[in-house]
Amino acid sequence: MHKYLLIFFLVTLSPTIFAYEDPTKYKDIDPSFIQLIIKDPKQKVGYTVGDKILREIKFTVKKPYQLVEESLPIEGYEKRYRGQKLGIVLQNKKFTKKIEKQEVRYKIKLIYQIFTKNVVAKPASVTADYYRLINPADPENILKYRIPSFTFAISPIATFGAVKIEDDMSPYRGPFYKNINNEKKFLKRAIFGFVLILLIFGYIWGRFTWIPGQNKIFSTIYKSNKKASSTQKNIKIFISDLHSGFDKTINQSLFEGNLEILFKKNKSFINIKQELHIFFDISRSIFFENSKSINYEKTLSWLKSFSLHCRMCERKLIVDPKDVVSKNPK
Amino acid sequence: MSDQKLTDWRKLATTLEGEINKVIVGQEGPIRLITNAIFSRGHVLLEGDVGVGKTTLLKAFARAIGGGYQRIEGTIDLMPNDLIYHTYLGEDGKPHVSEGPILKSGEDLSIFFFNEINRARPQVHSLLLRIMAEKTLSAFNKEFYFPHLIVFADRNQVEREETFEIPSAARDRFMMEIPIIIPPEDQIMTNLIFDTKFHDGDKLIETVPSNLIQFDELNDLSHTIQSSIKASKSLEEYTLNLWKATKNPEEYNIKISGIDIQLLIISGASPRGISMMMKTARVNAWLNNRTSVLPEDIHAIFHETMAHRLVFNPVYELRRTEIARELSNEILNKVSAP
Repeated sequence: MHKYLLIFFLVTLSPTIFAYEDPTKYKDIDPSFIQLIIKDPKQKVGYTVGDKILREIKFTVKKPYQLVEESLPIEGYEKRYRGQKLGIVLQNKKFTKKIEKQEVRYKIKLIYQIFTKNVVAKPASVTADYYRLINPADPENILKYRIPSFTFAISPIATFGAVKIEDDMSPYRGPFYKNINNEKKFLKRAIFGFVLILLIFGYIWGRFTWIPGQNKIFSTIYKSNKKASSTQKNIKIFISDLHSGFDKTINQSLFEGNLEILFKKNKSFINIKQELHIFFDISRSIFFENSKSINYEKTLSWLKSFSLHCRMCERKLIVDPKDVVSKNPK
Repeated sequence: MSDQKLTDWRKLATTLEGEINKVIVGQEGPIRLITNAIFSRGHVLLEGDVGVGKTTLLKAFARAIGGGYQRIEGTIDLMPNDLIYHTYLGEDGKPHVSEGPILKSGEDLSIFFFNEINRARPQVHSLLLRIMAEKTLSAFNKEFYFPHLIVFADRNQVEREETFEIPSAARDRFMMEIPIIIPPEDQIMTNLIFDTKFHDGDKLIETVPSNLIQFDELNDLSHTIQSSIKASKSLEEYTLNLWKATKNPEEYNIKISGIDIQLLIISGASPRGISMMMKTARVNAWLNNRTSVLPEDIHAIFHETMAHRLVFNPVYELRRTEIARELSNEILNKVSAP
């Protein structure tokens, strides 16, 4: 029974024992066996109660030595200096080990949290740790390696004398929080603005037609006919395409007698009214009157310009009156 | 007949139209259509309320084109022989037989107006339809010819009592059905009330120049018009599609609200009907000084030449006037040209 009590006592007190362990007890290892890379926070000042410090240690030990893993800092242990608690606690530890042929690589992540504050800036440090190393061939001879300390400054929460939190527990003021309301408001406004812009663009997309890919009846007609040669067949196809474009625009057949329907549907076409009459005149000549006095070259070039004007009207743009042709090209 | 002669005739036709427009106000559309029918040599059904000027209109045309004009009133007791002859006791105390309205003008009969045709019995319709189709009549062991005859008939659309609806086969013989409506313009309506020249129809008609055109030359002229006005391949396709659309409107995505379009049509336009339509389209092109038929020429006469021929499902027959107008508009709207 006494034996068990003794073991329990030793186990519970082991961190304390470790804390008070004398660094001079073990000899230093030859540094050529060790490779150390430490990544400490760039921030050296401005720490206060609650802040966390992350140390990333890459520790490579060449054979025959090995790290005594029990010598790593223990989670929950509060750093001390000459027996005095520093208010810096190891909150979390992550440890990985990779055994190579010639060496063992350790990756150690240590997160310390600060539990101290001061009314003026004061220096503080994550004190040096001593990792023990052992040669399995010579277990009696334990060596140590010093992990350097990280020094930083603990800053006051408020300017000295301005606020003394302990004396300022007014019920009319809530607890101090790290306030992110402004950021939240900004984010909300930004999202709102973004959505609004999207809606406006969507409206323009649907209502107006200058965005490529929308209401592209006449632009398709122009594209598919712009390289056509000036033959009667091509002109017939071009005119048929334009007719079907108008039919699609007003969702019924467009004739010269019901142009008003087109104007009602899209006022922009009023600007090319003269050209529309010429178009019907040409269409009649080609399809129904079999007129022989048609200059196909001029007619084709006129149809191209006309289809461009129709494309502009389709996009609700205004065709420059100077560009509107009032004479039949034949 | 030379092109010059066609031009001269067109001028005459335009003069005729202008003169009729002077006495019958606010009816430019129907007058153009009747002018068309006269040069297409087709019979016409007039549709309209009583007292809108149908008789005056026809009398005016008869005076201008010359030839005989006869009319008869459709009644339930009218018999076919009433059209051919009537008997009476003469001053000499003996029975006499006199020609009826059909025979009275002989071969010169140019316009025969049958008022309220649907009041007459089918036997009378049957006789009239024979005269319309064949322009001949057998009576008194003799064959009578009416080469210049155009029949105008009027249907009483308001009253249904004691009427005999004209069957579809009979309607198909008429080239056009022309609606005559009261002109909606206030000024014209006011003139009709207060301008005393409109109060005496006979006197009004006397202002129309008589024998403005020669009725006995119209048949030849009509042939010439039909042979000289061209129809292109594109127009043939367009007309064919229009015809098909009268038969199967659903295939052309034709829709009328509240109507099941698949049930609506029992029979579309007949070959006779569509050829009559083409005839009038050619005359319309000629009247508009064109040498080829355009889709616009067809549009000008499509409803009037097609609507009365379509045989509707009996469910929709009572709403024929309204549905037929919508249907013909929809057909023209949905069938593309070229």
